[in-house]
Amino acid sequence: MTLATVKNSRLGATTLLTFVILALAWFVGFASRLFAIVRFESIIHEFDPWFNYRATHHMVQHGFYNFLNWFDERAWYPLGRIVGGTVYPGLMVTSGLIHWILDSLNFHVHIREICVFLAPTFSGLTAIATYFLTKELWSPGAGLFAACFIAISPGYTSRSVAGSYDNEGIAIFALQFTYFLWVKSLKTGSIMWAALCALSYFYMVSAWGGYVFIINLIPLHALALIIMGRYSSRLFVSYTSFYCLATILSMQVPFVGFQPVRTSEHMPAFGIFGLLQIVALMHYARNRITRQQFMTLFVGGLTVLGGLAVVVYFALVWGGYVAPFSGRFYSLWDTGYAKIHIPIIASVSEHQPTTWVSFFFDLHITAAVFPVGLWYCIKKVNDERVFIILYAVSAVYFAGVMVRLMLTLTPAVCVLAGIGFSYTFERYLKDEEKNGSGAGSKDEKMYDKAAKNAKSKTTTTEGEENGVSVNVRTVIAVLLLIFLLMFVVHATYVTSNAYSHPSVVLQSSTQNGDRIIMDDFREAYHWLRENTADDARIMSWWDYGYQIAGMANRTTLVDNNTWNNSHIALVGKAMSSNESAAYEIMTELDVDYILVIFGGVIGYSGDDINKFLWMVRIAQGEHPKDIREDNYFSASGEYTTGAAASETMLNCLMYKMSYYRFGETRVGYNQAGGFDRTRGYVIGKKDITLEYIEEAYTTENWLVRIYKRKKLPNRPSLKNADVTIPIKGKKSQQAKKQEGSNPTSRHCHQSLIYFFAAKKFAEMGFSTNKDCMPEFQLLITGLKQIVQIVDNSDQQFLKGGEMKNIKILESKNNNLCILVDNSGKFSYVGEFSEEIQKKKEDIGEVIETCGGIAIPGFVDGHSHPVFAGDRVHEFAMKLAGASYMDVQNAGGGIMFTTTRTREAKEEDLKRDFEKIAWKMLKNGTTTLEAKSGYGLDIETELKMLRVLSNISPQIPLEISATFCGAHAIPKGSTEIQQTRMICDELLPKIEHEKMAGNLGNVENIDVFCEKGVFEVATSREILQRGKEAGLAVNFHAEELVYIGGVEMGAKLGPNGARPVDKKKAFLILYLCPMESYMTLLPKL
Amino acid sequence: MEVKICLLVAVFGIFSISAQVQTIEEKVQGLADLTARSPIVKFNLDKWKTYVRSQPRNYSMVVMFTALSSSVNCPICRPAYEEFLIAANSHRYTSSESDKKKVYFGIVDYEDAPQIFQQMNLNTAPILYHFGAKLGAKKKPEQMDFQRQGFDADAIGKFVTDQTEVHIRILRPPNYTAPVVIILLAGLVLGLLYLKRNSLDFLFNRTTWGVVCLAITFIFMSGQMWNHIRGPPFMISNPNTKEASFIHGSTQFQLVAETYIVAALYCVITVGFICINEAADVSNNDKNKQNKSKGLFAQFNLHPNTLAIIGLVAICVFFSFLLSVFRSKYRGYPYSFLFS
Repeated sequence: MTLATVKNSRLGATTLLTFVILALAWFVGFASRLFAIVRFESIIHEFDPWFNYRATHHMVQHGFYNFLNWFDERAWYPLGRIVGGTVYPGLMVTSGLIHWILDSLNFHVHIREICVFLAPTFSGLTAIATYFLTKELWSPGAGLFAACFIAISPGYTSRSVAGSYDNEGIAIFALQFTYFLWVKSLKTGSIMWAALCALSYFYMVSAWGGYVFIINLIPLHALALIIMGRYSSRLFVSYTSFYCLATILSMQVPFVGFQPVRTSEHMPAFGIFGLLQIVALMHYARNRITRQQFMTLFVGGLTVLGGLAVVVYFALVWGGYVAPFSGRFYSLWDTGYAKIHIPIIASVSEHQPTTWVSFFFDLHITAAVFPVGLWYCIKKVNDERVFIILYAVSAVYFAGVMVRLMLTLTPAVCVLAGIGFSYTFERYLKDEEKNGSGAGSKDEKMYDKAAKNAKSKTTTTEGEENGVSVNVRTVIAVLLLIFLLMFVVHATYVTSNAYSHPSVVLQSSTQNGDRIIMDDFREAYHWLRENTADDARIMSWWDYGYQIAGMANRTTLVDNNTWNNSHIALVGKAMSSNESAAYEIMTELDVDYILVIFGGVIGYSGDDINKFLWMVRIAQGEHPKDIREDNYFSASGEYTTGAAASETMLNCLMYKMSYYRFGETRVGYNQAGGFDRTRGYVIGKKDITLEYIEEAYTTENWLVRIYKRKKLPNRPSLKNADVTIPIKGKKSQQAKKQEGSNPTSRHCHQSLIYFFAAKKFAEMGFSTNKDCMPEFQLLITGLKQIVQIVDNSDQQFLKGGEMKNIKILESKNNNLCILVDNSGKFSYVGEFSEEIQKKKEDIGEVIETCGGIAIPGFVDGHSHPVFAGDRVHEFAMKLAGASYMDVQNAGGGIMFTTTRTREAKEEDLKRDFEKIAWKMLKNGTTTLEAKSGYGLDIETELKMLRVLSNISPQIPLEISATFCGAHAIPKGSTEIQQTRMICDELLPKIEHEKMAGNLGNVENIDVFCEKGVFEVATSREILQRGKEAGLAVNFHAEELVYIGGVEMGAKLGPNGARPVDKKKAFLILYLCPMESYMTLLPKL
Repeated sequence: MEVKICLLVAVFGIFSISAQVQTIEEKVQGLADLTARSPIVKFNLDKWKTYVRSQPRNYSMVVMFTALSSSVNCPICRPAYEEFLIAANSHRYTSSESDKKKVYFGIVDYEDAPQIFQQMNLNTAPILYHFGAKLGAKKKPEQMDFQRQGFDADAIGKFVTDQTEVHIRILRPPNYTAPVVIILLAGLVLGLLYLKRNSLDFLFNRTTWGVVCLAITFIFMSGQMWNHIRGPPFMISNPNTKEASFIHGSTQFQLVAETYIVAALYCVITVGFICINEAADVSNNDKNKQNKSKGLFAQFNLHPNTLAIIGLVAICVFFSFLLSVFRSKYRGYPYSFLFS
């Protein structure tokens, strides 16, 4: 305003001064944003900028049209992402344009440098746009203040430091410039300015989603002007031309498309457009018709029209032609909305509400002064100042709701604070000698100049000293300058300390002040780039998607463009499930590597464990059945990974991956292992084992941990070729000899595994020489590993999930030994010691294995090893779908074997059986339950039992023979006849033989209890009779048809082995209390 | 004659029901009768034993234990009951017939049946239990965690869905308070406007509008929205020293008292600035001898010099104070003014 009074002779100086101040503001704004580059290096920051950089790079390489059509298959695997249609291309186009211009000038710069320096450069343009806006609103002096404020205001710097290559960096410029052009067009009422405004708006739309703020604020301004009775033809011209052009232009951006005519967010602008036409008509008609007609026409007509418009709008929304307001929009008004309905929005820290500290931190003195500017704008309101009032009030509301919208408040604050300061200085710098605010930093000089400028303009007006004395004026002016200095210092401090961290590279300092750079992120991404397949798919939480794509150039599942909530929920579910469930999800999603961020070693608080609750919440939103947030809290309802952590928490994939091997580390000298520095306690579970994934890479400070999804093993393999069996009799003598002749030399047995069945051993090994029988019969030394299965005397076996953790003794220097006493029992298992060395005299046999492995022998619980004739030919039938009974009815099956076995000689049977027995031994079986049952008549059954009993003593196989005369009903006999034969003839004979000392190992009786073979009643009789003969009950049941045999058997109270059940696993219930075991067979 | 027989049969029927354990059909029929009038079954000891704690059952019971009588001081019971009622009503009106037979809602009031409270070993209310269909007589039922999930109808509906897989669409009877209050307020404002239609100047009074806008600004800049969303305590007292503190020592959290202090500080500083400017404006006006009482502080008839000094002192002192409050929260901030 004072500029109007400036004389022409002053004009040149003022223009020069203005120019210099703006240039300095640009320079200072640029320079103060370079902290990150000076401290670290020229690097793209954070997360989103990495995507923008990648997209820009792609555009520069492949051209603009290819960029618009770019389908990025490396994101959102397996969905992919249409980048061109889902991105605001303004940023990339701007950088690309600058790159192209520089290139055509033969000034070659890598596109990365342009990306890094784009935001600081644009901050200068923002300052200039702010100058013009404020100049239109108030005065050039205020404009200079505002330009200087915005150049260094932390609220804007936070989004525009070098390397922060994000939409906001250029969007704030576009925002301010659009506002300037809007105010200008409103003031002039010229279509040209309105068209320029629409163009600038187009640039804004192409750059940032925040354009919605403009397209609602400008209509709001128009509405306010109409209500205030400030309608003018200037408003009509500028708004209508702006709206039409802006809507058409904004629809040219592919990502926006038809939204301006199809979403509720854009409808107010359209409504105001309509309203303006009516108001214009009203103004036109007012002078041409009578008052009465006017009232009827417009009051009536307006009501009808207004009502109609509302009805049409709701009809369109209901009909789906106009999209209702989006969730993000609701979350601005209903503050509880996001937390309930869109956890993914609520999870982002910049969507949290703003504390007063953030306001002060970002605005400092301008926060306290901008209400002054607002006050005077209201006191001296005119058309364009209504705009800044509305802007300030709405922006302060939005900034209060969401931290990130602080960015839109900052320009308004700078403009109004500029007005406030300018207003005061205009009054207090009159007629005075120059203030000697010492020349310090450049910023300081700048303010000095601004002040001088204000003064130079005001000196021409008449001074008046009646009111405020000169001294007071001086003091006030100096103190205000001090406040400005404080603002500069504050802004520099904040920019340097809070907003200049790339967050890709971390920094900490040692006690003597040295900086430590932690470059774990890039280390990990580089590892991925170099060591994984080009098409490897990396699963991580969505925060790191852009970085992985940008730096490692690998495919990601989810990334920072959080458009597909269910896909993110799936990843969240994998992270929060246990390992096997997660493995399934990862297999479905083709995941190769999993990447987690873990800050427990260095105390980095932004790690995945701290974000984990959001993963659980998002997963729960989509999979409420599988994931329950409650399960991840401790009993007292806290979120913890420490001692109190819940079982679900301790077993989830995220916990395991974060803390795998962490229990072994110590972060401090006096801290326990597994002390998490971020959380400040020792973790809940230290011995973490991974089954389905394996650690692939962990960075220097453990910040990034990469795991590889294992391929499932095909099936366990055995090294048959290596298994040999020493012949005990000979070997023992040999060993003795060697021991005697040369006790120091160690003879190594080459075989990997030794078998011995304790019982056999006692019988054959040293029975010849009972007098000088040594105290111990066997010592096995030099073992590398002893598989114990269990290591406490109370426990005999493992079952269920326990079977995963069998107990194993291990020694790196092959120092384990096993000592067996004369009764065949282990007297010592463990490290070889001096005491055992002393006992050497008393040991019958010593076997040195040189690193062998001792395992318990296998027990074969069901076999029919004595037979003649094989039935390989029946496989064809079975494969064709024939059942066991079909085969038997066709003359195959057991009857085939029976015929051959009856024909065979006892010697042949014995020879074959011994061959089989050797084979079994070689494969690790030391105890065998062997059944007869291919004779089915008296003679052959006894023959078979004899074979089983008379096995060569050379074969150290412990056999528990079972009489199985009721294996089947032979041809020409019936169930009853066979039962009678067994009960009345065979069993008494066996009883007799046993009494005579033969058939020593026949210990059990077996019946094939099955429909059509031996029914429950006959089975019971046979088993009962066998029991009386001193045999243990042991039978086949429910193999083919369920007839209740197991229940029957259970009532008999057997204690032997009872094999062959198939799918009716619940029957185990009957057997459980009775020390029985059951063999379940898969159906062939 | 027939009527008498029917009566007899009915009487026998009643006896037989009370005498022996009911079958499922009888129970369901009984529950259907009970829920015909109100959506919530009110349990006494008898009904409790019959319908909840005895097998066989093929339905789930969701039971709230509460104390609604005024003799028991339970301020939370009433709102919890109302939410429960909404959930039960929604179940009654929106669930399918088969779903309705799967879940029933019930309530046990301490006054009606203190024995049940004893049986369940309860000494707090309200508590919501889900008795699953297969739950045995002595087994502990599933409890809903009001602490974590809250007790509004949606949360109860979710709890029921989790437990029984019966999905309840919560239908809240529309809450007319908000619209009524708004209409009343609007009516009041319009009425006032109508009454004062001859002097509508205050609508064009820029000071009023200025004060309103500044108030909005101070409210949001002092973080009242944060308070609204996060609901922090007014102030906290140190458990050891009983010393009350108005300012929380972290940048991520704030107390209600502290935001009021900050709002007041901003306000005083702004007013200080306006004072300074008014002082200058007043002196300009004096010079013109026009005596327009334009300034905000003109009515106080202060000398411009005094006004300017008051303004300056207010700015310096209170901005320093604001800085020191900020420093007390943002540890390590190096700059202060006047006092630390």
